Amino acid sequence: MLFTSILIFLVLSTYICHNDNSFNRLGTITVAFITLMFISSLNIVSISNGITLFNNWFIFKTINLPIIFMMLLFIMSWLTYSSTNSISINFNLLVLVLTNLLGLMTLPLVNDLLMLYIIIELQSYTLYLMTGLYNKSYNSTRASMLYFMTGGMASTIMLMSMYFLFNEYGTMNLNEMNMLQNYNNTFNMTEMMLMMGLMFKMGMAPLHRWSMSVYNYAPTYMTAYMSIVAKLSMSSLMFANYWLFDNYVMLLFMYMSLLMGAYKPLYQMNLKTMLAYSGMLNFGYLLLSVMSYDMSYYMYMMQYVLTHLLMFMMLLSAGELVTPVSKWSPLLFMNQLNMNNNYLLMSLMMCMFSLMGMPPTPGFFSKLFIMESSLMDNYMFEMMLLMMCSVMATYYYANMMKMSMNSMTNKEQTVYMNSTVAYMMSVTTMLLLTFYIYLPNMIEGLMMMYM
Amino acid sequence: MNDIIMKYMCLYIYLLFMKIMNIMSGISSILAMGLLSPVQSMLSLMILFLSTSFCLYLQGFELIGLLYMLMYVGAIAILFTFILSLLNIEYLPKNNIQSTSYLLFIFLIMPLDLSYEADSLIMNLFNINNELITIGDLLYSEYAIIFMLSSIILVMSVVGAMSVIKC
Repeated sequence: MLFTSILIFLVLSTYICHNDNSFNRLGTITVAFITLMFISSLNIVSISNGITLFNNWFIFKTINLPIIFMMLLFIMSWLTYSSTNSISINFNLLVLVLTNLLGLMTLPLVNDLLMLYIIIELQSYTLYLMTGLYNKSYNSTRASMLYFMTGGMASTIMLMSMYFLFNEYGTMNLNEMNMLQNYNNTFNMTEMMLMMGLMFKMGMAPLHRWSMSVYNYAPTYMTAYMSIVAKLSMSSLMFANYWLFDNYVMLLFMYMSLLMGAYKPLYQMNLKTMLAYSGMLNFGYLLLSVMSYDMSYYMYMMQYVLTHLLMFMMLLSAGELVTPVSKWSPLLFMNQLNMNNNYLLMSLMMCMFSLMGMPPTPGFFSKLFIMESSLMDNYMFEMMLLMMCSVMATYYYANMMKMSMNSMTNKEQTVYMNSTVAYMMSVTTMLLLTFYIYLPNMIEGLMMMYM
Repeated sequence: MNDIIMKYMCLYIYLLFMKIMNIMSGISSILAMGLLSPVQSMLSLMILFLSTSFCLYLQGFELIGLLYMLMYVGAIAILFTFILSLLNIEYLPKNNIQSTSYLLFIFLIMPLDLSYEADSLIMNLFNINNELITIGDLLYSEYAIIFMLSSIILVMSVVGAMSVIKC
């Protein structure tokens, strides 16, 4: 379905010239259709053992299903903003997004090292291109170039690790390597290199410097997309192939991400950098659930996608209310949080509470489950570190809330926001606030996914 | 007697040529990284591709050797050379430390010896007679989906060039 949609859009974009962004609504509808087809073609019990697709290159197990579904929903919601008037027109956005979606959706399903490399390159190239899509902005071209350089380096590291893995196991097929690993007693430097390449691409500490610059330079609309989407698919790959990666090296990345993500943004005034560090912090929490191979991974992903979507939608739609710093990232600094619309600020505050881990919000429940599962696997110190870094991170989230409290004394103004964006934001806020109501039902279903 | 001497000479020249090509490829790869002017490093890159192509062809991999020469030198290196000669890049050394010393330092840490013992299930390669037919067969049957995905990547390169540059 994705193949045909990509081809259709490609051909269409050459023949039809649009002067407005109404074209992108078609993209939203396409992604919605893909999601519908995805849901309707699922039969969880029959694929619980895994179906290999296309001559053993892909394996379709139930482990990856929640993440794929969440990615589709996220992209659908993100694309709704693209049809508003505040984004400059670019016809190639949809083709690139759809191709990226093809790469993202197939990345957790790979069963072979060669396929892994090709899909990662597919996903990465389209992501580099999307970063530099709004080429009127100098900064976004810089971001794209920087992203390309570092991503290429990470891909080279992964390629070298694939050479070593083939030398050791004699096969490129991940399934066969899983079976062979039980009979081999080898030193795991090779898989460590593969994981380092993946972590480099994700932007985990200590290899995170490039991601801060790239997320800062890119326009806010693109940062909203690329700061989560690559991480989602790559962490899903790591979760599905958890036997391939060494726990101790993942621990290193987890410690560094937690410490960096909790300490560094305390001195930041730049909202996007702070959100980038908080993303790194959250994915550090996620690594703990990957290490204990637990269902808390899905729960954390669910609430993090919701929170991320809501935060960035708020950042984007607040651009019309404040004096913009630039055309591409209107809301950049913390002192701009002084705006007239209190309801936007309230949704931001709900996200902040969720990231902090306050009880009724979803962040608390996911962190609770991560802590529970890591305690069961004897990761005591890591759990304590999670708690301490979460408390340290509370500082800068609370600082953002304090800055936005300055607007309590402003006069209330009616601002006319785009109704689609308003609808998406209100639905997301409602989902965020009522997460604890539908969480038990979700847990029952998710239990079957990774067994 | 003469046949044996001829065979010996052929083998000797063959081995000598292989060694020369190997050494040349190693030296030109270091030069490609270490030379300051971009056009000079493109020249050494072309020498690298040519020597690798000779090595591959002599070992029996005819198709891939010729494809190396055709694609790498004929398309990519030519394109790069022309673009680089048009761009005005400053290539004179700015600081006192030579950049080649950085390069040599990096080479000390790089694991250039990639030949480990293979104590796993790897088959031996037999004589390859019909390389083109085999590759064509495999590309369309076993590696078909990879072929299609790589084609999507290449289409993205065209779309990307259009979208990033066009205003």
